[in-house]
Order: sequence, then C-alpha cells, then structure tokens
Amino acid sequence: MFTSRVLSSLQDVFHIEQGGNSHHNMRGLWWPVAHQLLKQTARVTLPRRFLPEARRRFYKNVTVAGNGGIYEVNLDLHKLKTPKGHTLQIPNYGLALAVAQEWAASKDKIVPSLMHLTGLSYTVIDNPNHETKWDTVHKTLEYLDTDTLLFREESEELNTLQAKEWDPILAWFNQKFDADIKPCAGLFGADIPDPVRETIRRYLLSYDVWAVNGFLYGVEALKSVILTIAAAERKITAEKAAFLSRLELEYQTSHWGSVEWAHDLDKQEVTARFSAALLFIHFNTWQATTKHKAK
Amino acid sequence: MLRHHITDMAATTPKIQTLRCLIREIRRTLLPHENLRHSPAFEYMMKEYRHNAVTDQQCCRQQEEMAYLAHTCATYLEASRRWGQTLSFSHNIFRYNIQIFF
Repeated sequence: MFTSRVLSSLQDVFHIEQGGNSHHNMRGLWWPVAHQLLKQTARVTLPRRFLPEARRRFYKNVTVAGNGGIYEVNLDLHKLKTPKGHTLQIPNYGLALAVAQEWAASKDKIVPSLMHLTGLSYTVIDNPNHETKWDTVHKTLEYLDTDTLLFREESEELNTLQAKEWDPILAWFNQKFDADIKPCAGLFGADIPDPVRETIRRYLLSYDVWAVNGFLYGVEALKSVILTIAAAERKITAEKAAFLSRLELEYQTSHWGSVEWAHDLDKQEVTARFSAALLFIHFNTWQATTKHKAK
Repeated sequence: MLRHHITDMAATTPKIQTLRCLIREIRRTLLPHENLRHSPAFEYMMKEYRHNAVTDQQCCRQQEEMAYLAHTCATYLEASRRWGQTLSFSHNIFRYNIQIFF
C-alpha cells in the first residue's frame, strides 16, 4: 500500500500515464531520477591510477641527455615527464644522473615512494600548490618552534644523553646565527626571537627554489630545522642527523628491544628521505671551478 | 647500552672507501646486459674523483664538498636499498602468517 502511494505520487510528479506495460512506465519513471544520479556520481572523479598493484618496469635503458644547464631523463625513447605533463628538465647533470639511477634501480616493479629525488624534481617543476619560494621558506620556519633539538626529556639518563649529543650542534647554530636559543621542557614550544627568525629566513631565501624545496623535505623528514641546516653546512653527515633526530627512539629500543620490521623500516626510511633531501640541496648549490697552472 | 653512532663519518671515512661503496650500489642496480664501466653514473663519479684528486692546497674546499656529496649519495643508495628489502621481507612475513592462520 505504501509502495503504491509512493509510485502514484511519483507518477503525478513526472506526468506519466497509468496503464500499459509496467516495465515501460518504470523506465519512463526512473530516467529523470537516474539522470540526476548520474550527474552527481560524475562529480566524484577517481585518480587516473587507483590500482593497488605497482606498475611493472616497461623500459630497458635509462639515459640522460642535454647540455648547457638543462638535462632530461629518457626511459628508452620516451622523455620522463612530470604528473602534469611537463618534460622533466633538471638544471644539474649530477642530479639528472641521480634521478636516472632511481629509475634504473627498479628491477621489476616501479615503486614511486622509493624515488625521492624524482618526486622532489616533480614538485619543483609542477608546483602543484602554486607556492613561491617565500611560502616554502615560511612553511620550513614553522618547524623551528617545535624543533626536535629544543625539547628535552625529564628523565636524567635520557636528558644527559640529549645534552651530550644535541648541545654541540645547538651551540654551533647559535653561534652561526648570533642567537641564544635555549632548549625547553614541556608542551609549549621554544621562544624564538623575531630577529633570529628573520636571520634564518634570509639564510634560507639565499638558496634557489630547488634547494629550498630540498630544505623543506629534509625538515619534514627529521622535524628539525637545526639539524637540516647543520647537515647542509656539512657539520654532520646524513646518517648522524637521522640518528640525532631519532635519539629518544634509539635510547628506548636499546633498553626495551626493537621490532625489526618496524623500527628498522622507520630508521631506513628517515635516513633515505633525509639523505635524498641533502643530495638535492647540494646538487643545486654546489659550484666548482678549476684553475690550471700555466705550464 | 646505547650503541653510539660513528660521528662525522664523511671526515673519517677514506674517500676511496666511499667510492667503493658507491660502485657496489651502482653495480647492484645494473641489469645483466649492462656493463659498469659504460654506466654514465660510474663515468661521472670517476671523472669527479680524478678531477679532485690532485690539488696543491692542503685544505681544499672543493675536494671536501665532493667527498661529502659522495658519502651522502652512498648513504642514500644504501638506505633506499635496505628499506626496499625490509619492506618486501615484512610483506612476505605477514603474507606467510596470514596463510598459516587461514
């Protein structure tokens, strides 16, 4: 009875005549509704590739071509392109070789999450969030208030270890930027004076847009601006920086033991991400000149 | 006892050791038909090392920068390879445990 009332009201709305073949009536009844439903579902667009299976290696050789400051990576005869369709043009030959090496390292399946340098190059060329260099530096500086090196533990043993490992780098950082940043305890961030913040901002803005994106990637990996800048200035290695950012975790796992495919995975991921960021910064910053003696 | 990490490894590790590490990592990524000596990455590395081998300065910044870059590159290649291996190993372990369970 309820169904017949609904149907009759719908028939009144859509001006459908009664009688005849019910199947035809139903088709006439549902077409406007179905049309509306199709319009709504069409707004939900799935990404182009939403497949759980990784793409297989479809190329045999990976080569680098170009000169004069623009290098391209070729997969067999195809130029490597960014997700937005732009040709991947890299300003540095060493970086182009490193990107090619990432693609060459894929034996069977292509795993994009392992190709950090390629991803960074895509981000710089495509600029999907339409950010300027100033925006990227501002994002990087937001991590300074909650820098890993500025938060100390209350337990004595860990606090001593943190002081021993982190204080020399903090002292170097304070000397370099003429600051007096002190570590803090508790939930609230460290107090960074505005002149110091602006000095660090000017330092980061002195790099080009490629290196600045490398800085942001490194800071996001370690959650520390101080460690990233120290590594960029070649005061510590990438391994040491990754170790220092995970100091508390290393301390706890040394006491309680580690889960191999969780802690090791995390350690290798952080090291890989940060060393990729550091490579990206150095390739885009390093300049070499040679002068030969007169014979 | 917390294992202390080696500090300033780029400064203490001989440059030739870093070069060997880099060559090992590049050799792992080559396909069976590829030759290491024809690899552009190998040629670039050897060219940079030879270029910075001879200097009349006792403290050469360019040489130190190249050594640091080589060490960072070796770290990246090794960490990426180990990450991929650990990830596939952990996937196999979970797949095996699920098969036993069902």
